Amino acid sequence: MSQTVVEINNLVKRYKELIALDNFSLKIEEGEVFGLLGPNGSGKTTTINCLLSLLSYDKGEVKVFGEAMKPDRLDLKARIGVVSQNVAVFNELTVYENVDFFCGLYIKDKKLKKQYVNEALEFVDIMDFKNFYPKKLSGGLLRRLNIACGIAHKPELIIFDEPTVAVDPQSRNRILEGIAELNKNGATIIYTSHYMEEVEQLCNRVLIMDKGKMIACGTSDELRRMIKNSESVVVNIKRLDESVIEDIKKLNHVYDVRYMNDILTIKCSGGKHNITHVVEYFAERQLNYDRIYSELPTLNDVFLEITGKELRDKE
Amino acid sequence: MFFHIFISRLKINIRNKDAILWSLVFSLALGTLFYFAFNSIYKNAKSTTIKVAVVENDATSGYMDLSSSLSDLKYEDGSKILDIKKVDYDAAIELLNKDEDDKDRVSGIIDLRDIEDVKLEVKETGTAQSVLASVVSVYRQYISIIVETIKKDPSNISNVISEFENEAASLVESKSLSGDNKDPYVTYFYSLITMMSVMACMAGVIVPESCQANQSDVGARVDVSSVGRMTYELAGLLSAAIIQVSITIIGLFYYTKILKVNFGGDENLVFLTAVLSTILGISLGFFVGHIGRLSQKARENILMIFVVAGGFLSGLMVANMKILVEMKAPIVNRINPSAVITDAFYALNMYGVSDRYYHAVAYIVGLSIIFITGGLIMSRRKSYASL
Amino acid sequence: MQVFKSFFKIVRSYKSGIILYAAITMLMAILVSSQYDKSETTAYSNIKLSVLVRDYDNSELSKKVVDYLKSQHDVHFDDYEDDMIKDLIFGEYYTAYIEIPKGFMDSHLSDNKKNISILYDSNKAYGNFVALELGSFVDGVARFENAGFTLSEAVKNTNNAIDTDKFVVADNDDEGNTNSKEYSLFLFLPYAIMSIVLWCLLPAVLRFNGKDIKDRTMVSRLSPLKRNVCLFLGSTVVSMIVYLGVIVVTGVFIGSSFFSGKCLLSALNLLIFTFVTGTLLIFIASFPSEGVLKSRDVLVNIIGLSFSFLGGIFVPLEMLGDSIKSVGRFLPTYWYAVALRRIEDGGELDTVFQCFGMELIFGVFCLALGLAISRVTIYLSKS
Repeated sequence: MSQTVVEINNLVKRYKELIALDNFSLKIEEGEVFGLLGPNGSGKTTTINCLLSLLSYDKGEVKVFGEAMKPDRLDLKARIGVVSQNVAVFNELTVYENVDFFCGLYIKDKKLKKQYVNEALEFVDIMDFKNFYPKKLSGGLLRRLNIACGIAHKPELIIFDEPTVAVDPQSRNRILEGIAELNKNGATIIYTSHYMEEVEQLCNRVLIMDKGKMIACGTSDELRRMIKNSESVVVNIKRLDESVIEDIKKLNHVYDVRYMNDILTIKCSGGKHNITHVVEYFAERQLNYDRIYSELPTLNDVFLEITGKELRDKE
Repeated sequence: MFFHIFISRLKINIRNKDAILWSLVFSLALGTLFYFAFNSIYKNAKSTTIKVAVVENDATSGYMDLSSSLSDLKYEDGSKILDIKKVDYDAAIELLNKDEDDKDRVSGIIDLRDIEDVKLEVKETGTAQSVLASVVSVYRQYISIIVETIKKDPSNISNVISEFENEAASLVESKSLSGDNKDPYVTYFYSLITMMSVMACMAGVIVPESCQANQSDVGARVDVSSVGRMTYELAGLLSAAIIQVSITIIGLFYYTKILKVNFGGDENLVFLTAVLSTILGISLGFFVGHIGRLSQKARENILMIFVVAGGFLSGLMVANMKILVEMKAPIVNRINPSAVITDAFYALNMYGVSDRYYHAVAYIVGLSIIFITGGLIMSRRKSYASL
Repeated sequence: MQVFKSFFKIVRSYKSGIILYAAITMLMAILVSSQYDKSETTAYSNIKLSVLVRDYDNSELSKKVVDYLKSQHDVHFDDYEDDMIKDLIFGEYYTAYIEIPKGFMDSHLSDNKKNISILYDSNKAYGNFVALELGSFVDGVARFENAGFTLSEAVKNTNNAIDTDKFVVADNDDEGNTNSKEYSLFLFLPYAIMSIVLWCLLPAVLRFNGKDIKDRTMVSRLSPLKRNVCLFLGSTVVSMIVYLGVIVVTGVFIGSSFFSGKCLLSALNLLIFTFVTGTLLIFIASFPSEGVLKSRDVLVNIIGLSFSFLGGIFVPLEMLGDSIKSVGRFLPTYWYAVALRRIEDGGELDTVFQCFGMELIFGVFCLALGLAISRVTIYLSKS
């Protein structure tokens, strides 16, 4: 039976007039990859910092490994690893020395520490750079170093706070693969991000938050089922008549139609073969189009429908 | 774990080459500057023999053997106060009017041609001229006693002359100021070492930065780790202390062995005092590093102002400032660490290992303990209101 | 204009540090000037020294001794502990400490004399001079008394014998130096200006010279020359604001005598020096910024203290060795101090302006070198 690794109940955190966390709760089971998703300023990092007892909070309860988390619970901290949003390494130490230093804060045995450090460097694939100083590393390599420093001591619970910000695609993939592997090796992962694609790819369960509140929580499928939209049919078509739009609105399971910049988006709720119906309609009316495809709703859609805004600022 | 953190922090400190380099430049450059600026002042003021021309005529030559008793006057170290040149008047005027850097130039002319009215001729005001005036006035006194006695009671003249011959001891007893090195400009070196020691606070203030989540990213990482806070900070303090003490010792070694500045007193104790002072500086920075919610920059600004103002009040820029403070507000000298440290060096010089020295050292050590303890108490693990 | 405006915004973010540092250094300047409110020697007389006297005897003779000392020197009667007295003599605050014991007058002609003690540094002419002088008076009085004269006759005769007006022939124009409060204050101000300007403005200028920001502005339409000119103008304007603040505080402290010719000329001297400090800032900031920024505190102290010592700001120029003076001549602080001395002594205006010129030459040199180094670093980074 899996243990509850993290339990947060009714957490409230205020910064003067601003409520950063508003009766926020979550539960994370052992072995999960738990995603914390939300736009900038939603309270993800605040949640993490309260969980780690770095930030004080006004009300609520935080438990880790079944015990109340406090700043001086060094025994609990020994089982946690953190990969922070900002790269937190010493510029005066080499790659190897940095990982060695932070691992040494947890592991006393020299031989074991050395083994862990080498494994961590291999794991993030920066062994070739072990004698480099952080200033000489690219952004992606720095992020990998940051990860190595956080996981070298093989913690049971690992928290990744937006680890792929400003990282090249190759490094990003490498990081995501690495996280999956860590989970496979038994670690419970908390992954915060505002990149829904990463969360969807990686996480078993996702909690979407905004303005310090939980918006929705569940698996990706569960979240998608929460909203009306089950499928979007997208058609690239030029010079579409208004009457066509009206006709399409009348098709089965269609609840919303938008036409902008030569792209027709048809939102369907429920039903099967919705794309076939649309294709048949265009064939009937002998309308030419460039492209037609169907896509499942994203977490952004979930967020949009619930809150009325985008998960991420338009790029 | 202590050793592991200590070694890593030592590496970090050593590799911070700019800080070490500039600290060394500060101590070596300013020390050299002070040496060349002040080295000769006291030596030149000390035991300066004053060149004087003495003019006699046949009638007065040998009378009361004035000129040889003039040349017998000596300083404490045995060197002569006056360097007599017996010449005629015209030659004496020539010597008086020579250029300042001419080694034959005299500071004055003692004119003994009219024994009842011994005169002194000078060209300027100064210490040398004043000393000559004092010397001449003594001899004018003797003459005046004889003249006035003859006027008042000529029968008493033989008593007066026998009094001169059996000269009683002076009513003024001279006491020399004690001290190993009486050069007042050595206080600039005390102030320099003091400033170097107190400036070590900049190394102390960054120790908490690397283990407090609200001060740096690395601080956050260390804060969530399972290392004991006291272990981490003490290891950091020790590594900072080793670097800073080494810099202080290098500076002091340069002053005492290369520039051969005499600090006065037992040299080993001078080094020990400097080491303890450096530890005080680091502990001060350590303490300030824990106070309040100030940014790191604000803490460093406060410390630097403290270093400069404390150094000023202890006499770094204007040597008499410490004395002025002692007269107007002595409590400041008791609590200003810079003033106490300079006083420790001064006490070693003037009094040796004395109560005054012990008091100063006790203050230095006690304050260091208070700062370190206070810092450790304030650094116990806590959650922050904001990061 | 963009660089110029942004520079001010960055400086504003450091304003609390600037204000605090400026307040401390101005307080230091005022403290320094407060100890120089007495003038020193004027025309020929023996040099006047500060001596500390304690009269435990309080007799007619001891009062005569004290009167004699007062006629020759600056006598103080402050009550200090023995250690403090030694400190004051060591620090040359007093030249000597003279103690007249109880029973001095009663015993001075007997065999069991109670002597007046005088404590001084016997290695120095000053101390020996005071001892010699005092001895000549006291022993002279005793000799006259032994010769049968009354006390008042003995004192009168002794004074006549040792009165320098009667036997010293002086042929000098030397009126000696006077150091007014205003002079002492203005002498310290270059250190205050340098400290404030360098300590507070260096981070702002270095921000613009940081690699990333510099690269970004270099790829813009703004030419390197224009950028550097803007930075220089910005530094100059802020330096002038600092100068105004310093001058206002100085004026308030000095009072109405601030508007005298000497003070106004001294203020002009300081203005020129402030401008030169701005150019020095540009020169320092032209070096790689990271190392300079990290070591700002130590660097500012090294420059401030060494310029001030070499230039005769803290220690009078007359007391410094020739080798030091020959180095000091290359620094603006030296010419500032020389100009200030000439202003204080009422020297010719053209000699004062010569010193201003020397300060400005230093400033031009710093500016040219700073701009050249900046140009070279841009060129090297591009290649």
